[in-house]
Amino acid sequence: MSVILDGRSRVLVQGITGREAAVHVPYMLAYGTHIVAGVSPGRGGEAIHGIPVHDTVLAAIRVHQVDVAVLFVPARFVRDAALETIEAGVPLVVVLAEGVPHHDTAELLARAAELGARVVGPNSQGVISPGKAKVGAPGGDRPDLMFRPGPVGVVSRSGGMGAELSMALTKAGIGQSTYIAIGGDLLIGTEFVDVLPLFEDDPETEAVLLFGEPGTGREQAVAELIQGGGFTKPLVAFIAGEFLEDLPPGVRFGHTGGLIEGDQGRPSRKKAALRNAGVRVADRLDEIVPLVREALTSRRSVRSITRSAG
Amino acid sequence: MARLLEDAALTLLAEAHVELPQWRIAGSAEAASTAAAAIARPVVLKALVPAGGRFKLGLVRVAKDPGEAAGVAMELLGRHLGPFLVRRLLVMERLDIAEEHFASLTFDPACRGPVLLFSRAGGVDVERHVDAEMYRRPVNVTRGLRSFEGREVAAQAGLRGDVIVQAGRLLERLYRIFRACDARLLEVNPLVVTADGRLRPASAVIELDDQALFRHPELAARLSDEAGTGTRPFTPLERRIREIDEAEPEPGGIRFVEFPNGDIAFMVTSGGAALTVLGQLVALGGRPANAFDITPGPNEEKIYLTARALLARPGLRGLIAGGNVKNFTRVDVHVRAIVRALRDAGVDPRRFPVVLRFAGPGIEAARGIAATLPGLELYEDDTSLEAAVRRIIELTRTPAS
Repeated sequence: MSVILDGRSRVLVQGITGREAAVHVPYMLAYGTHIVAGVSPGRGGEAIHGIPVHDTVLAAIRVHQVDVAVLFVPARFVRDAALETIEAGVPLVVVLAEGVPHHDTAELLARAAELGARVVGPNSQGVISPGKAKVGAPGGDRPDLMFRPGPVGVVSRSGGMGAELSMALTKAGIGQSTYIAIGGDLLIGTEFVDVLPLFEDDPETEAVLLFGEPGTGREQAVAELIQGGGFTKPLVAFIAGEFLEDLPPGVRFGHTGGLIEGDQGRPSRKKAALRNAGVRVADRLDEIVPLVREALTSRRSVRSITRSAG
Repeated sequence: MARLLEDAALTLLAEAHVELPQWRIAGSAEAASTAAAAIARPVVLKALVPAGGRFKLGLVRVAKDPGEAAGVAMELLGRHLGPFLVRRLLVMERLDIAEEHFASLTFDPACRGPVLLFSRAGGVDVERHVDAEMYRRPVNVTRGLRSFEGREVAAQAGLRGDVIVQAGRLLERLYRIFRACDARLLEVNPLVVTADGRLRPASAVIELDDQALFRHPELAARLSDEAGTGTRPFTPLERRIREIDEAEPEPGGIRFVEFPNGDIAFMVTSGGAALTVLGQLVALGGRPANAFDITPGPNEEKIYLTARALLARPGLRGLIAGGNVKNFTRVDVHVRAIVRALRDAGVDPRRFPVVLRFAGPGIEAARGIAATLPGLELYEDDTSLEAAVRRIIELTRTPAS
């Protein structure tokens, strides 16, 4: 199994005639992603890679059932495109663009909440359920190099590091159920605590690997979720950027969500909170794969005990 | 983040019809005296520098008449606040303070949107006050912050009488400014209640959203280059790399911070990976000379020019470059830019260790390019990022033969 996305998910590509889509749509198709329609205003009636193009999302959903929309749309047009998709009733919208103005994100997330839609991103690399489907960039043209089907859910604030760590797992013979890049921005639609319950309910996911960053209280919320019993599977976490705590405050690298503002944004606080909740926290990158292996082993031994007891 | 100097922030408030104390700008003692005379009341003189904590550093001073204002101005102008030189002063009417409150608009990821923060404990040490005294109100972005919500928060915080009405009006306006200028932060501290019962912001901080500056060219122009990184002015190397970054076709993709005392040039890219590898480098005892990241795109020339500028920094002992496995970005383009920069700078990797760790599309071509420079070490996806970090530390510790 997998979460959010699988081989049956019917995918709409918004901005299908753009530069980014031109690269990734063929890779998505080659991976088996079930793309039913594309949208590009003014290009309705055309077909790209055999996919029918519509002028509007509304026109597309009149003729196609859509489960997931992925937005290959530049940052400055994201608000409009995402609102169009959300208003049209698409239940899951993946926003890839980096650099979406924060007020735009707030507006589209508010509308999504009102209409019950889930937004992944902005600034998400995408989602891949290995062996089944992918939306966005994960894996590029050689997804098998990085991703294989398997028991580990991967969720990351950094698309690049999520791919890197998935590759490390794959090279170690450990596959993934689903990899979700939740996005590096300050405001995002799908938080760690929204993803973990999905992995909790997914019978194929046996453990989860989480990549966190400085800034926000995202990782502490995970600790609270675990302590409240909302997630019970083994979790391995790596939190980047502890060295920033020794630099003057306000120094920004990388993601907009990565600015340490206040104590909760400190990686050391995040790591302590997660450890306190029983999470296996790696201090170094090369500790991650062994910890995941250990997590899987612990899970399997618990399950076999449960089984023999039952 | 892009912090406006206080005069620019106050101007935005004034344009939105927020009632403010009288204020002027002065760049000389004479101008300060003239400003104080025009205000015709005791004044506060504040150094216009892009940093907080001015009060504690003695850069906020009171003068009761134009003569005193001139004297204070003479003391402050030309002084340094840490690394910032004081060139201009804000001369503001001194309010007769009865109460000092705090109001701020910012984004809260937990609410997935903006929040209003309000506290009766305003003033110099507001950040030390416990959260319990801070009232939070998520803002409905579809309809904005309404006066009644501002009144509710003010009343909840314990304000009484007509000030509540004034607070409602003010907070609604502040939210409109926050929204209209695409701010990430708008803070008023102290928010003063005067002895005669008027609510007046005595200061304003506005930080703009870098990601929205494209639709505010007029505000981008008001941003002071003096602000530097926010804690210090830019170094000459940072300025040079900012110039490189302003070039077409995609200006604005580079983030670069120089660290003092570092000796390993750092060009590992891509948000999380740059942060992670930098962290590993520090944790393993390496001293990075800088932090660097660049948005993927047609940027070979920018990488080349950045590498050239960086390699010219004195005191370097090695270079690490690369990143996480790429899905789409061609790594051979990146490697070519770096190899070209090394060659043109006359760097011999046999004496100046260079560790590259690249994985992704174009790696075969990258291999060929790297091989043209003897001594350069290119690692691929069978080497972890951590192993690459260990290697550059090992090489830069070993004295070159």
